[in-house]
Formats: sequence, structure tokens, C-alpha cells
Amino acid sequence: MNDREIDVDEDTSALLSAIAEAADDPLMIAEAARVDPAEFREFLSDYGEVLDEDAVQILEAAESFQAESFQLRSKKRRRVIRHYHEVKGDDGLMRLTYPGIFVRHMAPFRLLLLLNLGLALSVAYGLLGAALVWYLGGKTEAQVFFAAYAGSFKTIISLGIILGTSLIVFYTQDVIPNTIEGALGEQLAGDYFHHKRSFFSLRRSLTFSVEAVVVAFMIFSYCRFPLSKIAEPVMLVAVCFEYALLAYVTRKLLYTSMMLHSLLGATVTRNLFRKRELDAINAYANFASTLAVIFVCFHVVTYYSGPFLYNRPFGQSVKTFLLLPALVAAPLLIVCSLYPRVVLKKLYGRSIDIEIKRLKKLMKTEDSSAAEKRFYLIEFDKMSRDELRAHLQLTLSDFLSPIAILIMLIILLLRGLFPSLAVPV
Amino acid sequence: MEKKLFIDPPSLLRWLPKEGRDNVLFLDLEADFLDDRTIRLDLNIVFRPIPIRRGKLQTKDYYVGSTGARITFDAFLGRVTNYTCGAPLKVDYEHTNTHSRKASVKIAPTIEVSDKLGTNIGEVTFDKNVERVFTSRFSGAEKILSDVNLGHAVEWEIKLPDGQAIRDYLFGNLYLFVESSWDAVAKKGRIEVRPSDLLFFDSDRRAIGDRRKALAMRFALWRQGIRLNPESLIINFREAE
Repeated sequence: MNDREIDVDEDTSALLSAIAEAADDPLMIAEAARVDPAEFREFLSDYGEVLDEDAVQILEAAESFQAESFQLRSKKRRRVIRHYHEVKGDDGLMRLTYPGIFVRHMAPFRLLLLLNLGLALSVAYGLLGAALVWYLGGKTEAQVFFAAYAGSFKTIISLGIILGTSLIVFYTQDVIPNTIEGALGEQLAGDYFHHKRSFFSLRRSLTFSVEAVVVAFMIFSYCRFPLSKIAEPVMLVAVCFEYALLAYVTRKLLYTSMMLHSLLGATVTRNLFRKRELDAINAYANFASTLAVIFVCFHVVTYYSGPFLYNRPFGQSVKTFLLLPALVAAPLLIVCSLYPRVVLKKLYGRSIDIEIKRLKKLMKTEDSSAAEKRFYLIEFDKMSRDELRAHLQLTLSDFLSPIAILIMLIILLLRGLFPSLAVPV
Repeated sequence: MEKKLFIDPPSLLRWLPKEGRDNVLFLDLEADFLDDRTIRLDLNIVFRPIPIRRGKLQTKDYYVGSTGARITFDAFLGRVTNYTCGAPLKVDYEHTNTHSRKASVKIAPTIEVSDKLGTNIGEVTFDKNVERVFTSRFSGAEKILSDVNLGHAVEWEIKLPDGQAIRDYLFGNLYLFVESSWDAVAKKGRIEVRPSDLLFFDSDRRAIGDRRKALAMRFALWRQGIRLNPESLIINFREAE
């Protein structure tokens, strides 16, 4: 303001016009001025007009308007909530259950069965290996082998976890493309199909795994297991197999993320959020990556502190290479477990936009005022976005992988600083 | 001998910074010492509604103004001997009053500073024997200027005649004079100018609704950080010893 005039912005100008044109009624004036009672009290106190009769009238009008508006809003809100669940097609059971991978694609017990199958196969491999060593080298060598396999190196558990994880990934790998294609169909871009081919490519799986086997063989043959010449190859096979399977799982998750990334440009033509059509992807990625991270942590901690001979020219310096899975695979797994959430948020967000557009069309024929329609759409939009936010919100369970890696690092650090501390794993 | 009159606070229009001019009325004055005991004050009451600019293509202003005002002159321990008498101010009213100054007078704002500085910031001198012409002008609707003499004080009220439906804001200069004598040594007093209301007017100078609307509009501006000042303008004066 200067000594000549006050300049007001367009909003304030519109507000002043609304007040000027309002009927000479306190309620109308309060509504036109968008009087918030608390704010108006502050205004009155600033001017010292707390007991002004006209001011009290406006204040009372604003308070009654607010109460009325709240009641109206509550009624409308209930109606919107009802409609919201109708649109979503939810029933009570649907809302209580998680419509992800477990319900729609694979029962949770079957996943556990696969994980247990992996552990059983690991035990079987240990017993078979011990039998082979017994047959070729004698009872003592077999006992030492099994003690190393099940005890000092705990290969029986690490191999079991990664075997189980690989089986789960193998048997559920169709979930990702089926879910994506079922939801987006013809809207998918060429990139997606390219990544899908790579995802299913056996040649690529074998290439990755063989590369991992070569690396594992080099590291562990250099470290040397404290076993006989007959028992050591059996252990090397097990540990190389662990690397190969980890490469397999990581590759699958990596291409899952690549396929999802290609969806960012896809056009959404219908409401995918209504039945959470893409949730299976998130569940798949989260479950597989968490298991893989658990394996990485367990594997690194046990082998890093394992009683290797280290009797080659470079001695214990090769020990650092035992951290390779943690350095290479773990960050990748964390990214792969969190990235689907980003894509899903975008696609579901677009779905909500589609639903709002559809509602707008439907409401054109409805016999209600423009303000009511607008309120309805705003409420619907807000509820949907809130639910989406809550649905894809990061919770403590989503940080299992980083937490597991953190624990692993702490254990390794403790063992590095205090070698005398035997931290049992 | 030059006389000096201190003004406190320094709220005369001539001393107000631009950013401080958020009133709908202002006060200015000229002083003269008619004799050792009598001071004449020529008051200039400026009524200036504040325009609120709106619209880009076709600008249509609102105005914040007052439809009436009360002016009070109070001589502490003195008595009013002469003053402007009330009169109807007709449409397009114009009234001229001439006064030839008897003494050379300085008016100065009271500023709390160290004596050593000997400051004369804002001092205004009115020379002796200079003839001054004060012309009050009011356009728009007819108004009434009423007065009441309380002996030690005088009050004027300017407002629309009773029963007039159309209210118009005050816009123009109102010149009033007052002469007062003091038997006491200290010649001092107070002048208060108070707007009777603070209303919003459309571009045709018609008041928008009642006080409640004005209050709501003031609230809307207050939310934007624009504070309109409806308070009285009060100044105290005293002769320098």
C-alpha cells in the first residue's frame, strides 16, 4: 500500500466482489468472505473490536456456517465413501485380504513349501556329499566334511535359503508379465517386450550363472576349505551353486525392474487401482529380494568368518573378496525391492485420474449443483490418493533388506575389530 | 520574537512518511500567536478515501472511506475564544477564509534526542504578516458541519444530513480555525480527529452494504496483510518555554 492506493491480487479482488455482491445477511457475508472463526477472532483482537456487535454477528454466522458445513460434509463424505467402495468393487472380505501374489497367484503355503524344499535339497546334498566322501575317502573325511558343511561354514542353511528362493522365483516368474499384460494389454511399449524376452531368456540366465560360478570358484579355491582333496570339491560345488543361484535371482529381479521401468511411459486407459491389479508385482519383488538379501547376509557373515586355510601366496588378503555378494548383489536387491513401488504409485495415480474423469462424465447428468459435484470429486480424489499413499507407504517390513544388511555389516565390523569375539551366527 | 510550538506525536500530514499514510483522514495545521496569551490554530482536515485497485482490462476501484468525522480541540487550562462555526456544506461547497499572521511561528515535532544535537528536524516556520487563504472544498452530497463549544474545548462534527439514504464518502479539505487563550504559563492542548466509520464504496461512490460488509472486506484485506487504520488521529501541542 502507498499513499495513493492499495493493490490487491485477483483472488482478493474476487473475494471483495463476492462480499460486495452478497446479500446483507451475516451468514451470507461470512460465507462470501470465507470467514474462519479462529482467524476472525484473531482479526478482531488485532483491531480490539472483540465486543463490536456487527463483528459478533459475523463471528456467530461463521461458526454456525462451519458447523452446518461440517454436518453437510459428513453426510456427503459417507456417500462418497460408499460410492468409493462400490466403484472399487470391494466387499468386506476383499478389503481384509491382501489381493497380491498370495491370494491371486500362489498360496502362501506353497511358497513356504518351496522354501522348505530348498532347505531339504540342501540337507540332501550334504548327506549325499558326505556319503560320497565316505565312499571315496573314509569315515573321518566324511565327518569333517559334514561338520564343515553344516557347522563351521553353515552351507546347509545358506544353500537351502538360496535354493528355496530360486525355486520360488522360478515357479512364480510368470506372475510379473501376466500381471502387467493383464492390466495394460495393448498399451505396452516395445521396450517392455524386449525386457520380457531378456527376463525369460535361458541363455542369459545360464551366462550370468556361469560367470558367477567362475568368480566363486576362483575365490573359494583360493581361500581353500580345510578339507581333504575329495571333500573340498564337494564344498566348492555347493558354494559355486550358491553364487549361480544368487545370480539367477538377482537377474530375474533386475529384469523385473527393467520391465516395470518400461511401464512409466505406458498409457493407462482404465482404473487399475480399483482391484489393485498390479500389486502382485510388488509382492513378488519384495518377497524374492528379501529372501535373497537374507541369503547374502547369512552367506557373507558365515563364510567371512569361516575357518579357511588361506595358504595361497596372497594369504588372508583374498578374504575381502568374500564380501563380493554384499557389495554387488545387496544394493541391487534393495533397489529392486523398492523400485516397483515407484512405478506402481505412478500407474495407480494415473488410474485415479481416469476414474475422476469417468466420474465427471457420469455426474453431468446428475441433478446436483456445480459446487456439490466439485466437492464430491475433490473428496473422491482425496480419498483415493490417501489410500494409495497408505497402500504403498514404506513400512518397517519394507526395510527388512537394508536392516539385514546393516546387521551383517555390524557383525563383520565387530569381528574385524575384535577377532577374539566369537559372535555366533 | 519567534515563537515555537511542539507537536507530539509528529503525525501531521507534512511529516508522515508515505508508507504511514494508511488513514482515511489526515491533519495538518498552521499556528499563530495573536498575543502573549492567545494561540490561533488553522486546522486542515484532509479526507482522502483509499482506492483499492482491481481489474486489469477495465479497472474499477473500490474506495475505503468515511462518511463522517468528529474533530475535537481541547485547550488544557485554557478557553476557546473563537472558532469556525457550524454550517451546512452544500453540494460543491467552497468556503474561503483569510488570515494575516501576527507572529512568526515555528512548529516542530517532539523528538527524543540528546540536547547536544540541537536538532531542528522537521521544523516548519510560518512568517509574520503573511496573509494565508484557506479554501475548504467539498463536492458530492450535502453535508452538515456542526459545532459545540465546551468552554475549554470545541467539537466539530461533519456528517450527512439526517434521513439521507445515499451515503457518500468524505473527499476534500476542511479548514477550521480555533483561537484559545491561556492564563496559565503552559499553553498546551490536544487535537483529535476521528472518523465516524470506515466503509467500502463502489466506483460510483456508493457505500457497499452496511458495516458488517465493511468489516468482512477489512477482514479479507487483513488476511492479505493489508491493515486499514480506523483509529483516531490525536496530537498534543505545547508552546516551547
